[in-house]
Amino acid sequence: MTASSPPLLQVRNLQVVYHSVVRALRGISLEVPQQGVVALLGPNGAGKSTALRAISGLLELHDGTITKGSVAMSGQNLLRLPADVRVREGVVQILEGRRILGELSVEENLLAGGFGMGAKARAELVESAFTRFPVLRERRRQKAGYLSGGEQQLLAICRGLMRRPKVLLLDEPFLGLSPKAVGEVSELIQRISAEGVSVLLVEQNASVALRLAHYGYVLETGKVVLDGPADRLRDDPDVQEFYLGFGREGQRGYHELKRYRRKRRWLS
Amino acid sequence: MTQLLQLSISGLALGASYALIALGFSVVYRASRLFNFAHGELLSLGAFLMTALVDVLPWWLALFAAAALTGGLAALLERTVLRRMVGRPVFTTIILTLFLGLLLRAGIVIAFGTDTRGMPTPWDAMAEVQVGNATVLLSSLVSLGATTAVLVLMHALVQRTPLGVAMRAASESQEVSLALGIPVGRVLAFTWFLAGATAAVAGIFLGMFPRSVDSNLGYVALRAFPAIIVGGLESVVGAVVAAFMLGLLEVLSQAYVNPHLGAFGHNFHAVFPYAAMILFLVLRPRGLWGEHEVRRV
Ligand SMILES: Nc1ncnc2c1ncn2[C@@H]1O[C@H](COP(=O)(O)OP(=O)(O)OP(=O)(O)O)[C@@H](O)[C@H]1O
Ligand SMILES: [Mg+2]
Repeated sequence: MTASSPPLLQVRNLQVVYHSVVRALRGISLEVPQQGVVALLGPNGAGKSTALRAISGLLELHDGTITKGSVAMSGQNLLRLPADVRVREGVVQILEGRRILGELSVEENLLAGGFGMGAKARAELVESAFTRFPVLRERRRQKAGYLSGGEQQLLAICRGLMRRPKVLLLDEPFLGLSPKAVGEVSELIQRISAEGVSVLLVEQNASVALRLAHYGYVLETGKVVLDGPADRLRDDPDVQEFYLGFGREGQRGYHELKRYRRKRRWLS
Repeated sequence: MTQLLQLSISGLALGASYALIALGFSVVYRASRLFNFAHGELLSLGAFLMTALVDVLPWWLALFAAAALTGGLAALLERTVLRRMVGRPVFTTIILTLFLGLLLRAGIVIAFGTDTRGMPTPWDAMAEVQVGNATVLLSSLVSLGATTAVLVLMHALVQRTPLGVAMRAASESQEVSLALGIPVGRVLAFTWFLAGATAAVAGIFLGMFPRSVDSNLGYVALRAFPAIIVGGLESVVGAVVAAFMLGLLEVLSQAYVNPHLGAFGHNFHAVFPYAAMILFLVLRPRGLWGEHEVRRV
């Protein structure tokens, strides 16, 4: 984690357009080191999910294109690889909104995350997920759709761990979770990070994210407007005002964002 | 009683073929979210290929080859044409698959002509066996056994193997599946392959005596349609159960209802399942097992 060791993931001057017209990223650069948690913060529509999709290869599905820039892992250009290959290379995105396969059982969700692996390795990884969270073992045969929101998020992350990722891209993992579940998920993220997996954590909940992360980037309308070590960001008056909910302006602004977000979800 | 047993066996044999058709149709619907109206022509192609392949291959090998070739064509259609249609309006994909069906049909007529052909069997096509008091065609029994075996194998594949898990995952969400590292494109193509191959098997057994193979065989798929609707598009098991009921209903009504309707009853059994389907949908709009609402087109 020294400044001199080369980064694991390197994004340079990335520009993304949806449907050939909507500009979502206007040239962002960021780095994720070999170990540690990096936070990517920003309001609705800033382009956080777009950045993750560009790294994981899921842009195509949303009719998005990279018009400029590069994404590399350990020096290898990722942009030429299709999404499923990137996953097997160790770049795993946990999608926003948990996205459990509700018709499949809990165990099958894990197995789906290990498709194409040897049977033995797959069984071992399922076993390690069950050991982490005994509740998943108890309910292995039930439809995963019946798990609580917190349990679903834990399952979603464990399912992503089936590939033994080098870097985990987490898109708003705390969204809609109870405080208790937020605690469990942050603990899991800390443990994963301690086990040597790099994490790029996208969040609107900056206070939780900056507690987990050692470095952070703030994204607004497709551009990085601020970046620095997590403790410096925590002390930054702008971040405090707009993302940590200090100061009256900020509090209202953040609150409104959340309301807008809820409304948008109802509509979609 | 004897007659009832006899009819029930041939009804179930017919139902098993309908079940294979319904299975292929609904598996494709779940994977690609489209109604494949070319499915019937795949069935017809499989039967015609079989009539030609038995000249050069042993019967069982010809069966596998006809199924594999038909499945391969289905997968090719998916990769080249239909994959681009995912997410398009239902109407567009219906027109497109109807058109592909017509093309296939034209191709079949060009390649095999319009003559009616008998489906060759390694056993005497008219051989009969005793089941209790009833005398049934050996072909009906083999057909019932073979198609049921294929159904059971398909079920095991989808429910019990990693590939089946991937197929169900891709049906539920392509984005999630891709994010999990599942090669969704290949899984979809394989799903279509299975649908084509099972359609061919259904076509081959449907073409056996007392029926035959002609260029209208593809329309049989339309007869399986009520089973798909009643069973619920989302539920493969529901479609299969409904298909067996449909086969029974068709054969039994042909024997017991048609004669009482005079001139009107001539082809009543062909219409009856549709009437039953409409009645059923009024009573249970979500299908036999349907948790999801039947999509209205
Ligand atoms: N599929 C899409 N088609 C068109 N535009 C899109 C699409 N997805 C995102 N956008 C646009 O791209 C911009 C960035 O969106 P993105 O989803 O990356 O933001 P975000 O930071 O993840 O926001 P949120 O916090 O709401 O998830 C927004 O203006 C959004 O409207
Ligand atoms: Mg987002």
